[in-house]
Amino acid sequence: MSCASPLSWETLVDWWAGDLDEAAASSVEEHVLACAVCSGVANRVAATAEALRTMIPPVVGPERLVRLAAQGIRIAENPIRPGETSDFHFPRDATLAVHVLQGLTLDAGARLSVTLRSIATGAVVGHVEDAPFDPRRGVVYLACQRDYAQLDHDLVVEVSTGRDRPAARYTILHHF
Amino acid sequence: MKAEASDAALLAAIALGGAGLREAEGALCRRYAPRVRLYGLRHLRDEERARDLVQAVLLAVLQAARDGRVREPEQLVRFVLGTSRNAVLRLRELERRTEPASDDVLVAAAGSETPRDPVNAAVLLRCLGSLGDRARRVLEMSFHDDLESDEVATKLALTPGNVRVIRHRALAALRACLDAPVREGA
Repeated sequence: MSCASPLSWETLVDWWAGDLDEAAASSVEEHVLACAVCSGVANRVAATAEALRTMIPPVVGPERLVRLAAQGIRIAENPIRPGETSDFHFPRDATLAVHVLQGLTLDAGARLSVTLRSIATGAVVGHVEDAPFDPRRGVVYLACQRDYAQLDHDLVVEVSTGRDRPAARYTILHHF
Repeated sequence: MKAEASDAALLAAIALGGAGLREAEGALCRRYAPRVRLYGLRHLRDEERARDLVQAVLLAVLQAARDGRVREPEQLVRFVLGTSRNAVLRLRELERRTEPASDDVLVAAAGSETPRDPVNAAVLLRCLGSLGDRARRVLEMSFHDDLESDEVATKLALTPGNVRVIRHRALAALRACLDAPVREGA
């Protein structure tokens, strides 16, 4: 199986991202339909982009939570205040757990960063700049999925709301 | 007939009918189902609707092949592309699912033959974490938030050209990370 003029990864990424004009996109689509090699590469681009499109990010805003619930995803909430340690057992009947990080001073235009750190190694497991939050409840929602059982279970979550304020710290010990 | 038969051979066998008809139709569906699904996913951004598209398009393609309306392989690709375009427009207009086809060949082609690549959320999180902050944000804005390159560029104070280059490299790096075997203790 070979292709005389394979489409580049760059072209296929531009196509998937909608960055090609109509004529170029049409040409790519005709080629991909005709060519097993390039449709294979396009499938890799698509699978990667789709993983990003459908992922539930570690920090979610209130609108996303509403949409997830509307899709029938069972969500368990785990409220936790700064300085606390939560011994959290992932409920068997929940698809998604949401740690509700409370006790934050959140102005309307606040810019938050959230850092997840492994207690065992100190390594940063995840970091989100400009993290979404719920201004109405004054909380940050940290989404936790069953797949995360593969990661370090015991985490410290740091939420920074500005340079002049100390970061709020939450310790979460997960049991999957 | 082998699965590697050319489009022309498959079209000829379908137009001819007879004993080789089902096998030829099955081979044609297996070949084009993943590619039409890809087209559908690109334009409809929804796995279920992409599968509906596969059924609708393959049904039209098989009907045309049975009627002998498609004779050349080049014609077939253009026919598939044109049918896919029209079906996407129709699906968007109606905003409802097409009726599932009763043809078991089509059902098999659209369902079990469809390639799936589920990504473990923990692996995705780890791989995203291995990218630089800017690269990660370009990917998230492009593919999760579905922003145009111009919008991503404005938000991150980059040029659209920079955004595209960062996106090419970051998506390749992410794919490589997702494909890499997980190291013990990693």
